[in-house]
Amino acid sequence: MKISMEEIKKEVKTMESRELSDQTPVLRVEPNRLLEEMRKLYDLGLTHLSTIIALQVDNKIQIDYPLSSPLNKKLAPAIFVETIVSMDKPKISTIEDIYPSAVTYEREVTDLLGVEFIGADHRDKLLLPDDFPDNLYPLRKDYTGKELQQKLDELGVGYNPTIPLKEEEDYVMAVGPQHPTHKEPIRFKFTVEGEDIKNVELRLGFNHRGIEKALEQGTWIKNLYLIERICGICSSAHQLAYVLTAEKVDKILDQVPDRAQWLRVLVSELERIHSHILWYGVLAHDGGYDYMFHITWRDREDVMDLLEMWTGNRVNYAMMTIGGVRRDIDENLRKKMIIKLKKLRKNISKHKEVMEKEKTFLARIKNVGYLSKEDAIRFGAVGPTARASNINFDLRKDVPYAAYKEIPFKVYYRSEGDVYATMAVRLDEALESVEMCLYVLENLPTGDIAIKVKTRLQEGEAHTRVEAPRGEDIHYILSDGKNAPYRHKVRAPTLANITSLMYRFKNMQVADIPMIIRSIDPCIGCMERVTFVDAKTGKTKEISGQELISKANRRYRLNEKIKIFEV
Amino acid sequence: MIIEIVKIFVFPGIAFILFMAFFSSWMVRKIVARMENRVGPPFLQPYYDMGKLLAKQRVYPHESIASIMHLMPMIQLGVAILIALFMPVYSPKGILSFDGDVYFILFLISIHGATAYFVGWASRNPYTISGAGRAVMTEISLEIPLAVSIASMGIMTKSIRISEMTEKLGISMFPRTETGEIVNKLTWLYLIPWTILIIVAIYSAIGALELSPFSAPHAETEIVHGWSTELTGADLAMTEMADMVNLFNLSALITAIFLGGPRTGLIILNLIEPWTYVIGFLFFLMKFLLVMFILSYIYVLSGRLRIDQIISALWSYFLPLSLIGMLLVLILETIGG
Repeated sequence: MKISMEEIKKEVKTMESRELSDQTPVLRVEPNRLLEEMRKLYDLGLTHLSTIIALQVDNKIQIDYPLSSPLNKKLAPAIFVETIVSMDKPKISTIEDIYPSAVTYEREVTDLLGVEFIGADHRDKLLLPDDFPDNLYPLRKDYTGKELQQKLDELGVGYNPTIPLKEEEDYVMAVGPQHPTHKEPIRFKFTVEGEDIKNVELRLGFNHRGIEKALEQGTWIKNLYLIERICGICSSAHQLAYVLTAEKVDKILDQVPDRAQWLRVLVSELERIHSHILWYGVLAHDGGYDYMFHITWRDREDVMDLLEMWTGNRVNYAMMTIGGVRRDIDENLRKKMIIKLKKLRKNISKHKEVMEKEKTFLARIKNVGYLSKEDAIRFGAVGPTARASNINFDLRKDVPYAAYKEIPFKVYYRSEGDVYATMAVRLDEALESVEMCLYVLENLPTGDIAIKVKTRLQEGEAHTRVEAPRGEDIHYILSDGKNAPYRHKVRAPTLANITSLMYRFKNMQVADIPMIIRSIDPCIGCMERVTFVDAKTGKTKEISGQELISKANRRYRLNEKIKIFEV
Repeated sequence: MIIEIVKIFVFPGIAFILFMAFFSSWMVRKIVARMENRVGPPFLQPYYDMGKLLAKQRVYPHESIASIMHLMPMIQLGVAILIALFMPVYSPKGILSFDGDVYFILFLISIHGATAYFVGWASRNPYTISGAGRAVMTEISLEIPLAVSIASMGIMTKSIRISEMTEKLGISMFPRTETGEIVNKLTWLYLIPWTILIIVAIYSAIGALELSPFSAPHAETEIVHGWSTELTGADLAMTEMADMVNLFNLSALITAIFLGGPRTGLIILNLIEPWTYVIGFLFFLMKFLLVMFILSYIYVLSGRLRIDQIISALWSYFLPLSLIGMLLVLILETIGG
């Protein structure tokens, strides 16, 4: 039985219902009825909780739950369930029994806005340092970023950043915060018996920068460049989600020229190719198969060169702007790109052939870290991780954005559910992305690449879900008509996949740890974008942001090359 | 007397062994790098590495047993050099040689495994203890296939002394009359068990050297650096050097037992005394490099197996394979008489 959005609206007892600027329905429910209504919605098929968005509005805290369905295509666009609690000792019942993935999101909200979740077990801090004061919540409007930083400096928070392991009777093996398998700091605490894993605990918070708070202090244009620094690998996905959301808030999405939308697809797909090649190279390295690691990274340079030729950068391309893109492609570059992409297609096919055949490597990834379809839905897995567990869901297809509606492509999904399936899905996707790029380059519409936009956006709120290389990336913006967002919420795909990741360690061995962690393509920088400006980095900086900008501008005017190490 | 001393300390003794160890290490690294499309280290890189490590401070973690962590790497290096003294380099006879020395060498190789366990245990670290357990499990699993395959070669050549095994290999596989004709055509069948046994021996050597696919004791992405994680400075240098010497040892052992070491084999050359040694040494080098190349090739082209997969591979594939090889040798011996 597949029911539509209209029927859903009838089923839920709402206090009032409204719409975001992008026509997303918002159902406001009473806090004490939340649990009941959420259960009803889950049973109706809205099984995917994207994130929990919490923000302070006047003296109340508004909490939004964006829900959608990965299986029912009619319900693929998100629907918001909203509830409002008072600022003074905010309390709301937990929904972790219905949506297990809510645990991480709820802990995040507790850390940053001080909302208590009734019925949840005692929860340690997830994102903030252990020595963070109890009555201080960074994302409340009590303090601006600078004031908060000063206050924490006075208190000395973050100067004891290590969180030592407590002594325990069990045999504990800590993987992280620093470990060869991690490229970014995160800590998994494994309780092991011989080589078998018995239990696992997670601690985030080693990579906090406070980007969400910083976004509220910037301007709409400055935020373009801050937002892509959330992550080096999927920078353009974050930027795309941001500009799409901003355009929805400003109600100019339909005025954006076609050529710009197609170029946005091109940069997103090029990024997906390099991200996937990077990923399976590192997977091979984790499996001790260094040969493939070197070969794949060598071939990845081709796509990096492409991006550099077009955008000037290997990462952080700064391609998107509100109302279009910033750089066009000329005929010469277009031809060069087509030649390079054809070479890349040949190379990726070779990688696919080798990686799906080498027996010692397959022995390490087949039947490892199994995740069934039911569990993938229950734990809210997204992106290639979900597609490896037999869920045919791709935001590019099911909730098309930019120009994906006009570009033909196939969604790959596999039924195995193990690490091998995640690899096979990504290999196929990388090949498909090359095809998409070629299609875009051959059928690029003519016209402008951007429209002019005012520096202040209209009042309004909107959200966008984008298929980043790692999965669903959701951005939510509330604008109060000023030159900066009132609240900008980002949830990167890794945080959505981390719940199912913890489940995957069941019955596995110590040797499988790196492969299983790698299977979701963890990006810690993305996951922990929230919280707080690091007091230490603020101090070691010798040159102010203003100076840097003026320096860069001068260089640009004089057409000199910028020496990277000079600053 | 002076010649004896030169033999022990210079050629083919300790100085030569260390040079060959550094050379083999560089060779494997270079071959691997070229296969992976990298540039690879310069020729002197192993010397720089060792020099740097020897100059570094030694650090022993809290609650670890410093004396064991300090002593065991030295024992490893000593044992490795002792093994190397048995290897025939220019003539079928090594510096040390006695009846049953093949089994003495196997015993010394297993001592290396035991010291690895002690280091891991003394370091008191989850990674080192995991790595130590894995090292011992791999060691135990590879010893029997290796021993069986060497024993089979012993049956073929009717000797358990390396020098005799090296010398008689060609004769027992391809017995000839004085004019150079092969006496018994049936002996060509010896190539079948020989192929099986050399495969088993090469894989066992890879296991003993902790290279992929049997590199679980050193699995970087899982347990950092296995049992040697906590070693620092000179201790680490000793272990690394022992690994290098063992790389030379096992390649040279396979060269000696399966490929006839410095013997020229089917080519019959009538040369005077010193020139046989020179030609022998060149032949040894050629065969040695071939073995090294095969080792690196397998190392590059395989992923790292899990410890349970290593054990099941060694016990349920390589051990039966070695036993089949031995059986074939016995059958051929009985028929050939």
